[in-house]
Amino acid sequence: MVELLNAIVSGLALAMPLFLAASGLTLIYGVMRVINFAHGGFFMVGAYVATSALRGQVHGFWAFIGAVILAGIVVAIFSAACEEIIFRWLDPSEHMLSLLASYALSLIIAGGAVQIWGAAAKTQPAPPLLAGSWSFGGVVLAQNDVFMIIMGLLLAAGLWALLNQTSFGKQATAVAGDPVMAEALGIRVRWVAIGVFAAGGLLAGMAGGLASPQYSIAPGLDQLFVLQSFAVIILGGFGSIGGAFGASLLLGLLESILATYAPSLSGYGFYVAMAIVLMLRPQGLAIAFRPRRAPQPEVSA
Amino acid sequence: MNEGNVKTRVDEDNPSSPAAEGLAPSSGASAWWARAGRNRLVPHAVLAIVLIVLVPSLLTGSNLALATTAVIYGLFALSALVLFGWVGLGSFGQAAFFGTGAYTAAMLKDHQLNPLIVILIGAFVAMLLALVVAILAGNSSGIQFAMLTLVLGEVLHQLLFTFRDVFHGDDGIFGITAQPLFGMNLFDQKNFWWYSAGVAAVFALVLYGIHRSQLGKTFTAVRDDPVKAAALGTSVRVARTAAFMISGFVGGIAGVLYSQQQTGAAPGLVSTVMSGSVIFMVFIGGTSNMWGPFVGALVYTYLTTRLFQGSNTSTIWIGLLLLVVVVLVRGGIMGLVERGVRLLKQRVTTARSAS
Repeated sequence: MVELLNAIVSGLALAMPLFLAASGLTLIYGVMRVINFAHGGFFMVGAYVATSALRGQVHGFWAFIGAVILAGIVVAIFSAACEEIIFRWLDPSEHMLSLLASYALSLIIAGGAVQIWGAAAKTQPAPPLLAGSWSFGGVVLAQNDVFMIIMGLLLAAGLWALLNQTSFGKQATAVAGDPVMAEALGIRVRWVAIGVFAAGGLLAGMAGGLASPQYSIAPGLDQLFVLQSFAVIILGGFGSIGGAFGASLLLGLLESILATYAPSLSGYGFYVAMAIVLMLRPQGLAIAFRPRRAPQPEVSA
Repeated sequence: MNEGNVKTRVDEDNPSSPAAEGLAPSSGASAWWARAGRNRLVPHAVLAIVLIVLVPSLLTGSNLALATTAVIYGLFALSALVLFGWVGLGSFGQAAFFGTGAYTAAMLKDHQLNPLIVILIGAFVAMLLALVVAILAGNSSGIQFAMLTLVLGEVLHQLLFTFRDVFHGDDGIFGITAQPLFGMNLFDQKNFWWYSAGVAAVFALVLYGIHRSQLGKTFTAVRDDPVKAAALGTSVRVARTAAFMISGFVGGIAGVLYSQQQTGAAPGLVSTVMSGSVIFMVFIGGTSNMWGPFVGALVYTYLTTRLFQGSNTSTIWIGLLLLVVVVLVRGGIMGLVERGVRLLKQRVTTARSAS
C-alpha cells in the first residue's frame, strides 16, 4: 500500500512536465494543424537555458523560478521565430509536409544544442527548499514532486484561463475552427499564429526548466520527450488540452507503477499504451474531456 | 495479392499512341532516340548498366566503399519510396525493416550460407514484420500512421536491449564472414560492388515492373484518393498491406547487404535516427521517379562521411537541407532535373517549330 502511494506520487510528478510539453504540442496542433516534431527540441532547449542560467549550481528557490521563466521566454521567442520563418509557408492541409519540416527543425535544434552546450550530460540540482522530503508513515513526499504537481496544476489553470477567458483564446478558437472565416471577421490570423506558437514554446520551455532537476540534460532528451508527448496527445485526442491532461496523468502513473512492480516492462508502458489506442481508437480516448467547439479529430480514410 | 481493380486506367506513355507518333521525327537515328525516350525503361536501364560498369574503374578504395554504401542506402530509400511515393503513407519507422534484415544476416553468420540465400531469408523475415506492422497500423493514415510507425520502430529498438542475450544490446552482432558467391570472393571491394549493385539493380527493376503493373496503378489510385478508390471496388487496406510487404521485403534486402558490407549489425540500424535518415534520402532525391532514392542516398552518404566526417554539424546541415527541400523545392533533386529536362524539351520544340 505504501509502495503504491509512493508510486502514485512520483507518477503524478512525472506527469506534470509531460503535460506541459504535450499541452504546447496539442495547442499548436489544435489551432495551427502543425504536428511539431521539434517540440521535444523546444523542451530540451528550455532545460539547457535554465541550467546555463543557474550554471548548474545550487541556487535559491526564486532564482530557480526566475530561470524557469527565462527558459520559457527564450523558447517562446524561438518558437514564434520558427513559425514566422518556416511554418507560415506550409499549406496546413498537407500534414506530412509540416511534419517533415518540423522533423528537419528538430535535427537543426539537436545539432545546434550540441554545438552550443556540448555533448556531455549536464545536471541541475534542485534548490534547497525543494530538495527535502516529508514522510507520513512510510509514504515519502519529495518536496520537488509536490512542487512539480502544484506548478503543473497552476499552469494548466493558466492555460485554461488563456483559452477560455481571454480575447486571445476566443480568437485562437475561431482560427482553429475556420481560418478563412476568422480572417474575414477581422481577426489577425498571422498574430494568432505567432501567439499560439509562442504560447506553445513558453509551455515547452518552462516544462524543460521545471524538469531540469529531474533529468540528466544531454542530447537525446529531445527525442525522449517528443515520443512521450506524442503518446500523450494520441491518448488524449489530437488538439484536446483536457485530454492531454488526463493522458499525462495516465501515462505518468502507468510508467511509475510499472517501474515499481514490473521494472523490466517500464520502458514499454508508453509505447504499448500508445500503439493500442492508435489501433483501436485513432481519435483518442478522451472525447469527454474536449473543450467546447474544439477542432474535430481527423478521420482516417 | 491484388484483389482490387481500378476501372479507369491511364496509360501516360503508351508507345503506339497516334498523337505521339505524329510528333516523332521519322528519320534514322533521331527516330530511335524518340522511341527510346517514349519507352522509359530502355534509357534508364542503359544508364544504370553504364554506371554499374563505370564506377569500379573510376573509383577505388574508400571511394568505392562509399559508393557501395550509397547504393545499399539507395535500395533502402527505394523501399521507403514504395510507401511514401506510391501509396502516400509516411512511415517514420522504416529502419525496422532495414534493421531486421541486418540482424537476420548477422544471426545467420555461423551457418556459412550462400549470400543470396541470406538475402532471401532476411527479406522474408522483414516482410513478415511488415505484415505485422500493416495489420497493426492498417487503420490509420497520415499523422497517426507516421506516429504509429515511429512507435513500433522504437519498440523494436528497445527489444534489442531487453533480450540482451539474443541481440547483445549496444555491442550488436559482428563477425559475418564473406562466403564465396559463384566462386567470387566478396571480400574484394570490386566484387562486393558488382554483387550489391547487381542486387540493387535487379530489385529496382522488379519494383519498376510492379509499379507499371495493375498493382502499381492500384497503389496510385489509393494514394490519390482512398475514398474514391474504395468506392470503385479497390480494397484500400489490401493495397496498403501489399505496399507494406513489398517495402519490408526490399528494406530487408538493403539491411542484409549493409550488414554484409559492415560484417555485422548494431542497434543504430533500427533507431529513429536511421528512419529519419531514410526520410531525408527520399525527399532530397525526390519521389517522382526511382532514381531519386539513389541520388538522395548518395547525397546523404557523401554529406555524412565526407563533407562533415560524422561531426555534429552534419545534423544541422542535414536538417537545413531537408527544410529547404520541404519548404522551397518540393520535388527534390530529381524534381529539379525533371523540370530542367521539360524546359529544355520546350525550348527545342519551340525552336524547331520556329525554323
